[in-house]
Amino acid sequence: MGEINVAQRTVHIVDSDALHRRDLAQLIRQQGLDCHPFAASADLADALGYLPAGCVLLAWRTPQPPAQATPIAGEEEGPGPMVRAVLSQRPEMAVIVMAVSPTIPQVVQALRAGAVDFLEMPVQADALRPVLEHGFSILPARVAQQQRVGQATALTTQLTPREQEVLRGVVAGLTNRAIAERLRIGVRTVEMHRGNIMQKLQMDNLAALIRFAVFTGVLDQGLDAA
Amino acid sequence: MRPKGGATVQHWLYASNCAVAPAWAGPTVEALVAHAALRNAECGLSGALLFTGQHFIQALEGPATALAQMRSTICDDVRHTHIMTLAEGTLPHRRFDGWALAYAGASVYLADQVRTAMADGAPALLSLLQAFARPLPGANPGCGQHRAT
Repeated sequence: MGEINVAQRTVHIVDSDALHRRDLAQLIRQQGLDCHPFAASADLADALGYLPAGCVLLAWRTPQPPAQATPIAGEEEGPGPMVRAVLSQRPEMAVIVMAVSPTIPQVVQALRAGAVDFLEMPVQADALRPVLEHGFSILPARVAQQQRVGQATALTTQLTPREQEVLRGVVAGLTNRAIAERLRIGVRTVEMHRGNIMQKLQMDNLAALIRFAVFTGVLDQGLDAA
Repeated sequence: MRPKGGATVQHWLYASNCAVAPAWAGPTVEALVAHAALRNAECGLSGALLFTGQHFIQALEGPATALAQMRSTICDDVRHTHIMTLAEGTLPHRRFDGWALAYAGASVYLADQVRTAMADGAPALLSLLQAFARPLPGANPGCGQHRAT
């Protein structure tokens, strides 16, 4: 894992408690890190599109303002929805949930929703340091992964809807003949589409194409073609 | 999958230290989980594994013979050391639906919780494992859960 530039180390905070938010921001700046404090998840959500990748400290307090994302049906109230809301916009961010006397189910819910760590509030300097170190240590790999997904997804958007249908068929393991029958087109046309797909996605073999499709989630978009 | 007689479920809960260098821990655990999910499903073992980067905690339950075999395999595994049995014996019924990786990651907070739970004994660790192994309501049951069906 490569060194990260200290200047790039940014911590975003969401905490409705002004006093704790101020103290926490001060702790973070004392450690030589950049800090962007927000009072509400909605403010963070508005800014997420252009914020630099970093750690996101989310305070989970009860009673909660209305959740940004709808909780999964049947899931008990907890920090899960708030974590998913951030990660759905910025999957590479290292989300850390903070709570006052958290229960095990709350911690488990946060981690399963994709948080990388947890902190007890009020946050103490000696607890904060190792958790932020953990967050920043995994950040470069997450950013790199997100860039690969972004580039790959950009490539798929160059495919025509027909080419995407053919691609799903190929990934589902269908023969050219089977794809042709399903799409009611000629086998030669399928071959032509396949050639164009390989060229547009810059692939030279089927194995690479399958890996690419799994990676970008072409498989997730339903296998109606299969 | 379910044992015929209720009293035939044996269980074992242990904690151990990871002997793999941190840089290799990720791929090692991935390989281990892929293998264990298959093996445990085959021989009717359920339970959960938790990995904090320093410690492995695993609960296993199932038929006595299968569990004894798995236990000796686990004890011979060079990827961990200081295997400490925290609970073992007979259970009236299974506590896990299948076998699952409860957690694998480097959460500093969770590592602390696990250390505290290890000092507090088996019940604290079991509830931690069970909280992770519980399927997410409404979530795809195949996601992250390796079910022994």
